[in-house]
Amino acid sequence: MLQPDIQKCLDHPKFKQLAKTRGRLSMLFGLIVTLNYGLYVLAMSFLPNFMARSWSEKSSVTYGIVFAVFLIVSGMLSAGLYTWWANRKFDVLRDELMKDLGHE
Amino acid sequence: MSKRVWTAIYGGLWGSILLSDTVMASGGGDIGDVEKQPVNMTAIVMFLIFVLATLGITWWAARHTKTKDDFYAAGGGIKPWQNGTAIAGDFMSAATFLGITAATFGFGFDALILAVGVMAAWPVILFLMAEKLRNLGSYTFIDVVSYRFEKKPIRIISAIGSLSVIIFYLIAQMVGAGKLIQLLFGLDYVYAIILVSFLMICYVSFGGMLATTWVQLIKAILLLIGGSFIAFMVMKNLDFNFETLFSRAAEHHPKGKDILGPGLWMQNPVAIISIGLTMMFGIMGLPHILMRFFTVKNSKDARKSVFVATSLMGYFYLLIIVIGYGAIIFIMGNPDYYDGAGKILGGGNMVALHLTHYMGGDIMLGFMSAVAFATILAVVAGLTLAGAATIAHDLYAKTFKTTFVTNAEEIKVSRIATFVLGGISIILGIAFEFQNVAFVASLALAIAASVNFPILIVSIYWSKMTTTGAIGGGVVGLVFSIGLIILGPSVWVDVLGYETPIYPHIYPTFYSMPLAFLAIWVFSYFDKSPRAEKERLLFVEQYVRSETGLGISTAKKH
Repeated sequence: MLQPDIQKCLDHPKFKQLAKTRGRLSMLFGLIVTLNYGLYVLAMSFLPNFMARSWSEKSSVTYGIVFAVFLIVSGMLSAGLYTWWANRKFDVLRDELMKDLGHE
Repeated sequence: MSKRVWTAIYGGLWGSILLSDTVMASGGGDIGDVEKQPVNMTAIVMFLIFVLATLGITWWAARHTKTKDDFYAAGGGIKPWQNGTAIAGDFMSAATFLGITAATFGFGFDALILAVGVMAAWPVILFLMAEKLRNLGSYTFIDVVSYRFEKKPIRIISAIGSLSVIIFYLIAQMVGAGKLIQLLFGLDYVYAIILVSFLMICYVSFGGMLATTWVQLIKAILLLIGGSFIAFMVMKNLDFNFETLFSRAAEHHPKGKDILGPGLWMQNPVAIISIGLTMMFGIMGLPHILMRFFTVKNSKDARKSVFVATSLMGYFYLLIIVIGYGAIIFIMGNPDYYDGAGKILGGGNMVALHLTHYMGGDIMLGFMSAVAFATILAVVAGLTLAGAATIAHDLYAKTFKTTFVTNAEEIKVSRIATFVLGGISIILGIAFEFQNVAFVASLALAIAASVNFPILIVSIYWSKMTTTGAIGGGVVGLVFSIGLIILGPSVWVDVLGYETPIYPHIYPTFYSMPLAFLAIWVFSYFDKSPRAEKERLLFVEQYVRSETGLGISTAKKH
């Protein structure tokens, strides 16, 4: 048997909206980062020649190094993007929900 | 320079790095064979200033640490930027600075996976775990895991996972600290160990989480300043041209262009994927890191802290790439930093500090040596606090005591636990002085990835998990991670002295982590007990709370 305020929260449309959008966004972001990293690890394992290839004729910078720097920078950017988004959307929604339910 | 001299230089380097490689980099502290160096006054003076400053902070923090909430979580009143910087500090360790630089110096590109793994882990922690952890727990990640399961067994199995990670990590750090002090300050190993334990006990037992966070924070800022300076000087010497950085490094290194691509360190896919999994998921199961999510006031601040942490770490790892390849250009083959036999002075892990000296002279070397040591101090303090919280909160108050535990009593128990952990660190630090502790740090991360992480993430997301599943997964993860490391090269060959390892890779995670997940699923699936039914129903409540933070403890101001 659920506590009444939990049930009330669960049935609230704003809760459903919050859980659904945040769940989707975090899964999407999580998948992108994990896939990129997975590709990096797999490319190290199975495509070493590709990773060691220069990315342009004259340059000695390889695809591997570009990929590594890309992962580091994209990690920072995706964290920033998610935080920015979540602070603007989810927290507002959450506060409205709490207000509707009579907390705080 | 003749080819023979190169081979000698390179050979010496290889030997010293192989001892430490991933360990240093992954937050351990094994720095291989070291020779005691002459007493370095600049470094000692700077280190003393750091110690005095942090003891002052501890004194201040002690006056603000009255309840268990203050002790474990600084009353939830740490600001996001402070918490984020402290989290980053946990990763920008002596290990990262010295270890990844050394590994890049020796193996080039392959070493970058240590940085990339961390930078993949943190965003995922942010997306999938940070807010939910903050909403569900109060002091430790074990609170989160035990939310809907039978308290006693789940707390015991998670505490075993948590404490093994902490103890193994502590050993690696203590041995690393002792050797580093010998190297940097010219002090004795035993004194170094006792000094580290003493300071760590002071910070933690008096100042709790507040002091621990500030120590970590200050150190992180100092390390960022030092790292920025060295990387800046490297690039200045190369006219700020990254093309030159990589091409000159490749010209200068005996392995040539091979250092710009994979393969010098690891070739076997299982080895690479294992280290990839360990780096990414081990981090997500480190108790002293997960504990930091409870020091901020709500999930919004937890999110902000991870963003700050990720940005600072990303910046620092970019610096490390420059420093690592820069060291190849300026230090490799430089007779000032090699002894007569063609070995790097002080061992392979000194290259970052040699580069510091090359770029900034004696003063800068003293500064960075002091920072490197402060780093170990900060990390062991965090570990000890996490250990004390597990013992006093999870085991004493929530598991073994049947009666209500008062605030004062719980704090007293955690202080005793801190002293005991400090004592254990001294004993183990001395016991392991002449051991190759490489396996110890890999063990810590592997257990975190194979025990703590699977239990935690599945309990947050999968409604059908039960207590039996958690225990099954925990035991399987523990047995396979420890078992495969014992059968692997770092224990079976290096410690026990057998010819060939039964399991050929250093990290067991390729097998142990998936098996732990599988065990959780199997044991939960076949668990038809009434208790399991109840636990599955409770998931709804946990879900609502993890999404909204309904009913969490509120923060207090300092």
